[in-house]
Amino acid sequence: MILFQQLINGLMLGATYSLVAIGYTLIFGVLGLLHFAHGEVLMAGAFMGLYIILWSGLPLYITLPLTMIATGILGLIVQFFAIRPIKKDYHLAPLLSTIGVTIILQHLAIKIFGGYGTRFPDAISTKIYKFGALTISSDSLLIFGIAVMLMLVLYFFIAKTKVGRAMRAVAESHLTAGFLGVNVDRIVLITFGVASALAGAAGVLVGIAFHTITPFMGLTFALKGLVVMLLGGLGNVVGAMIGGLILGLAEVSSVVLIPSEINLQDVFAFGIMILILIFKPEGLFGTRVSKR
Amino acid sequence: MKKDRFVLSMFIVFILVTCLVIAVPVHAKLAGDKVKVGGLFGVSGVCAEWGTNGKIGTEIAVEEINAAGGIGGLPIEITWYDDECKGAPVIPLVEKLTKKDKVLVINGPCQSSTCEVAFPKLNRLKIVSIAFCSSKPGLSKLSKWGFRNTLTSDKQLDPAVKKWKAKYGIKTAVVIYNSEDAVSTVEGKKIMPVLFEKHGIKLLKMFSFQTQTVDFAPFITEIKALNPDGIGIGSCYEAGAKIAIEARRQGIKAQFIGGACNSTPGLIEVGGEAVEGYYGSTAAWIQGNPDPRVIKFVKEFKKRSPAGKDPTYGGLRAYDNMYIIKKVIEEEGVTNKPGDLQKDREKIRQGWAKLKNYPGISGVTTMNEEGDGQGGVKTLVVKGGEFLVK
Repeated sequence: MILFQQLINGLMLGATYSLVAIGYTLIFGVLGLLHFAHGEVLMAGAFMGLYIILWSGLPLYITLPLTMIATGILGLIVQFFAIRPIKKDYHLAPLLSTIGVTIILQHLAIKIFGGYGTRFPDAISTKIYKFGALTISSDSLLIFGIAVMLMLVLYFFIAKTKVGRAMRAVAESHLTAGFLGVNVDRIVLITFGVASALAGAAGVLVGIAFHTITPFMGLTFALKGLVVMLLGGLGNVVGAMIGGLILGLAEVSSVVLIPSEINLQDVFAFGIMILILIFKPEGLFGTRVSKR
Repeated sequence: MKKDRFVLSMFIVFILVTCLVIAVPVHAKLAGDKVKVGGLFGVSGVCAEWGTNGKIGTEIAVEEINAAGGIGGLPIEITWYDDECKGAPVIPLVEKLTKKDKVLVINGPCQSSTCEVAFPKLNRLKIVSIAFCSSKPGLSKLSKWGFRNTLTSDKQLDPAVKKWKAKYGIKTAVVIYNSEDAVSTVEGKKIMPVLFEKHGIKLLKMFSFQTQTVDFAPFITEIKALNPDGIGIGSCYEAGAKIAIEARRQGIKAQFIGGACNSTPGLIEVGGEAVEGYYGSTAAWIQGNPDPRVIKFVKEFKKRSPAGKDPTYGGLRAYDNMYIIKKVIEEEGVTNKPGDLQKDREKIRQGWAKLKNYPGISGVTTMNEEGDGQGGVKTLVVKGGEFLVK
């Protein structure tokens, strides 16, 4: 029964990792850019969600889309001002620019919200369902459900819509996509918007799931998102979805399997990353990024 | 005759004036136009609530002292820095305060993790630094220049564990602690196990987590399987509150006791109903203290604190630090001349080392031979959404 409970814990944690990693991998797939500030967009989303709930008292089903719109716009601003103007000839320049955005967003948040943990309001009333010794809370189920739903929507968006097909074309080759009539700049901008909207949703869900949010939370999720992206395969959206769940389960396993006085959750996460880089650098589900 | 009487009366006036001058202790005016003091507070990061408390406490003290004429006739000027509650930034900041800003003394840092890094460097820099909430035992031994106006965690937790056990009839317990934080690790690995044994509580298992751990669900599931009566938490308030929330969410009814860093309003703000009955400790009597100085301080503090929160003991201790700094500078013959800077710093060190029975708002403070404060300790419990003294 404990193992089953831990399995649930792992899936809950993994679902949030998946949401973060999808945004990462979308941007990496389309631009070949490691968007380091993606975690800070998640943090910004968490605070936006917090204040939407506190100021307006709006329910979660309205707060979540509003936050996604707000972080989507934030993503567009980041892309427009911090990435687009940078010359592509300097390979490290866009990465360094996103690190700069990370620092700016984090310090802005410290200045505005204070440098400490803030309680995320109870966006939904929590009910505890008991099945023998097993307990599942209604908020955990809802978070998992929303995360899976967003992933499925994104999957169909990329697979079935015109914009999604254009995204895949741009991911293959900017030049060829351009020749075929795709407005590459517009698709890049949309990709940033969609990825940032997902990060905003992840921020709100993280706030509900883990009770507090801080200006420092972005880095933790950014690093885990990076591991998941490598695990699932660079630019592979489905890989990121499954990779997140695998990492969540792996972290929980570290608490169950390793002697309890030693905390090895992060050792597990980054150990997995190193093993993948050594033995399967294309990720478990294969990379979708073309060699540029 | 008239001339004799005039001389006699002038002589009496002279004697009276001389007596008056001797009777009123006017401290010599210091050189310069201000007394420079460093303020090193972690106002962002894991100890932010404690650091913010120290900063506000210091601000209140400085305003009061300056309004009453300053130190030796000069106003205090504080140079503030945020060490982000991390060890890495603290060394360059102490170095900057010592060499570039040329302050006489530093009020801060706050937590044990930063003291652990900063104190060994003080031997080289030769400047006094006084922590106001660090509680890991043994840190003041690291340097004769490092002082801590606070009680170590073992002294704070001993009476708290005794009362916790008596209140809830705790027979078995687990400990969960932050293995990346200096005082939390010592509380979790050493202090709580020893105190549990001393008070007849069987320790079932120990768990550790990291500062960036966001999900406590897997730990709580493991703890639930052990079915303990109590859970000892070595961490700062935020993690303590999250552990309590997750425990209640998974249906655990065990009672909590937290380490020295737990007893802040932030614990209740984050934990809500889940932290009702949570035991902790404080190195200053705040709630219900009839001392008018404490009442006045709390009133002023709440005006300045985010969301009007009550102070932690760190606020009161940092406030006392400033008054002790004033007392030491005035009594030890500090000149404040730029050429005497190093001699002045040594005089301040000597003054702190021999501090005895200083009647501060956080209690009567005496420095022991290690450089740690001695003074009153109180046990706290969360009841009805606020801390009550037990």
